[in-house]
Amino acid sequence: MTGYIISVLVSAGIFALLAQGLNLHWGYTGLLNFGVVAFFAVGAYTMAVLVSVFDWPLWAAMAAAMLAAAVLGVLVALPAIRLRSDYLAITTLAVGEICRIVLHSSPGVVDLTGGPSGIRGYSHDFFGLRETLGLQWMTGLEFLMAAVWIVVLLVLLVVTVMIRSPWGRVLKGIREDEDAMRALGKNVVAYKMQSFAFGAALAGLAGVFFALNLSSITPEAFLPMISIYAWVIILIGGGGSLLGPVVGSVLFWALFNATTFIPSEWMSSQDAAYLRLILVGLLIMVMVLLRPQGLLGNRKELLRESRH
Amino acid sequence: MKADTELATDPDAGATAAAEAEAFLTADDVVMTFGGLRAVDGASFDAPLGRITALIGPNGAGKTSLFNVISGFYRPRSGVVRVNGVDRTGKPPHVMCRHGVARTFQLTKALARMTVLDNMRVAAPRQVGEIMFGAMLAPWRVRAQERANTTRADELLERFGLTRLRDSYAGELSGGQRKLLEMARALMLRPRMLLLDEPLAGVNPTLGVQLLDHVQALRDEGMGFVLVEHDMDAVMRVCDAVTVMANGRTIARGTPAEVQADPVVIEAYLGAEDD
Ligand SMILES: Nc1ncnc2c1ncn2[C@@H]1O[C@H](COP(=O)(O)OP(=O)(O)OP(=O)(O)O)[C@@H](O)[C@H]1O
Ligand SMILES: [Mg+2]
Repeated sequence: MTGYIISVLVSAGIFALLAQGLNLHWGYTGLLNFGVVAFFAVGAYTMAVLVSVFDWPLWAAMAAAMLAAAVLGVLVALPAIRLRSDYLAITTLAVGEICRIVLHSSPGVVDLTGGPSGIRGYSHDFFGLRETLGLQWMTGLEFLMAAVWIVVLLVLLVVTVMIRSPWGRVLKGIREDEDAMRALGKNVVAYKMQSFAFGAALAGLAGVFFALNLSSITPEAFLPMISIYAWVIILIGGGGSLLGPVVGSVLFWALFNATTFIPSEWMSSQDAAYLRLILVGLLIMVMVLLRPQGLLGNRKELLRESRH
Repeated sequence: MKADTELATDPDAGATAAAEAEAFLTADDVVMTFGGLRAVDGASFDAPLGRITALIGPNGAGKTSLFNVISGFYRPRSGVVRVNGVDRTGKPPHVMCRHGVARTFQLTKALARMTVLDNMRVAAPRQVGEIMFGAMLAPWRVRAQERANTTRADELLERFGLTRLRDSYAGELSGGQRKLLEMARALMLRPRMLLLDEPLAGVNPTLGVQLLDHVQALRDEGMGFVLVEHDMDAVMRVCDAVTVMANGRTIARGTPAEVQADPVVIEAYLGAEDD
């Protein structure tokens, strides 16, 4: 049972960060991003390559990972963000796949990333911190869990301050009506870029912890399904609410990993893996029917939007 | 320069030319097309500060399209838009705003899932807190500005009779209330020139009168207005000058009385009613 709880909390923490990035894009700015996995992957790989190939210290590699994801965010947004939101959706979806394929087989890149065989040997520094801090009584996984949740809470704090500031109010305004905001003198494109870069940096940070949770990363770990998970989490928790991604992520992973309790005499682990997808599908249906605004979303807000 | 020379030769023409030189906002021979349709087909007009200039014309005359060109939402095919004597043709809306030209929309754009108060506060210009990380780097300045903006928002809400709705979502307001909110919100910008696209449509008559009183008061303080409005009684009562549009062109201009008597204008309106 503790094993279940810890593995749920590790995944939930990682995906809470990823979903918070998406929440910034979609929940607060109204930007349709279907390729958060791209920023997730760039974060993971930047950290892994800098630590294992270039021997960077972990903290610097982490900062670089966020920066790299943010820069990719700007590059993706630059051509697409002026267009209608559905074009951004298509572009981001494609960028997610392009990233994976580049990591997998692009000459030059592959020399650093190891291509399909992946990259390893980047996590010693992190788990070494356990001794430095005198926390040997924790298992590696417990230490990761603690670290990721501290980061989740810090990010929550920063995002809360930003969203409640006039800057966040402009993002919400853009989500509501872009033209109104332009008429009020706001440089909408600049704000969308900022939101996009910031959310991408959070996804990159999530990618760092995702990599630390695995002894090696391969491009196949970054399938489009990751982006879909982030969307499901937003759907469960409620977009446009600060705690929504956190709560949604915990519930999502609690359900997703629950199939480990099914005795192997009842069902093979392969069947259980399908069952978990079915469970997630059912959860989405129940949510959409009973609480379309998500658990923490504001029902009033949702209704108002549909009335007009 | 030109005004000076003309003033020397012909006092009458000189007076007009001087007024023109003063005009804060001018549109010169603007053409705006949608595919083959010439929505604005060579329209010229000007609006000085301290005056309410009406822009009238039958449905589809191109008034809203001209507004969109002036406020930077559409780029005209040809023609020039000047603000304070400087060519600002095709500049984006947020730049036009910075130069003192603000607008409202014929179809209101309330920020539905934000409160009325936040609709107002978001409009305040030059907020330090709107800079990314601004609230973290200069929290005290942001808080002070926020307090000042809230006070100003509350004053405007009071004047527009929206105080009661301050904390409601803008999406909950009626059509008329949204019109009021939109105008109040535009005033948060402290514009020098405000373009109002049918501000009275859907507003109950008592409130409409108040709204126009308010516009006149602001005019007396030196603000300029361009008013697109179908309610002729209102137009004739409050406006200082009228420009008439039909089929994308500006066909007449003058005082309300002059325009009302102008056969070209009567013809344009009757012609439109025949359709
Ligand atoms: N976005 C658009 N795309 C295509 N045609 C348009 C567009 N906007 C306006 N038009 C057309 O341009 C012409 C002028 O429209 P506009 O809205 O400027 O008129 P208006 O004077 O504001 O009319 P009203 O009094 O009804 O508001 C109309 O024929 C209209 O159908
Ligand atoms: Mg119109």
